[in-house]
Amino acid sequence: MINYAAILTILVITTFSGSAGALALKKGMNDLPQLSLKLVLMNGWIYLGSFLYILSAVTNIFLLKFLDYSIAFPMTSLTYVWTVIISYFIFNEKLTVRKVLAVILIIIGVFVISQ
Amino acid sequence: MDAKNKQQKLSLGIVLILIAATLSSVGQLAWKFGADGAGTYAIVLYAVGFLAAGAGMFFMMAAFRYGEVSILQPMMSLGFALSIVLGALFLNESITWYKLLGTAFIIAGSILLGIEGNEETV
Repeated sequence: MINYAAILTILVITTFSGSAGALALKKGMNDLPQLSLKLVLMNGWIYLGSFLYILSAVTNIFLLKFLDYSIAFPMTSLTYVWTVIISYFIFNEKLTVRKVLAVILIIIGVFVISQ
Repeated sequence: MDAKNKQQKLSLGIVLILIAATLSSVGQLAWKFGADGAGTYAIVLYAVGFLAAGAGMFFMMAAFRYGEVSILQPMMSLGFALSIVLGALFLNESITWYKLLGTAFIIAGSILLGIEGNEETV
């Protein structure tokens, strides 16, 4: 039996890398002056984003080894929470009451599902 | 753009986002079957899951061209609700009050984030 802390760690890794991966890919795509395979292959953000995405997928599969599908999948909504946090700290996007409330609701939801 | 045209585009956006939400839940379902299995069978299911997740993302991006993100993005979380149904149908997972209540909280949070995201682009 795998313990609660280990599952939480896997959940954090899969959702954080999913969020950071999407942001890195978006940044890479926005940086491209035009869409060409050569430019895509030369962009470091796209490599970082792809790596994080694969990491997210692998840890997500790992999570599914230990949890019900109908528990693990809704829990991946924590990805949204990381996007809010990363956007605040890295991209200086402002935190609004609504965003904070949304984050709290999602975290409560994940906690309730884990019961 | 006239109202009728806009409404039609939004309907298309909603159809696309529902396809996206379904694809992402099906992708995770394939991963779950893979995670419970072993060998080539598992690897094939992982690949299927990866393709479904990628296709889901593609449909989501496409949907955003046809309507407001504040309406469309929260609908992605309907995939979480769908997973409760799919889990019960295909994996004999129980439908508990905790799952229903937790998913309701998550969908509410997603809707709030969607509204927020839309106001930033205005």
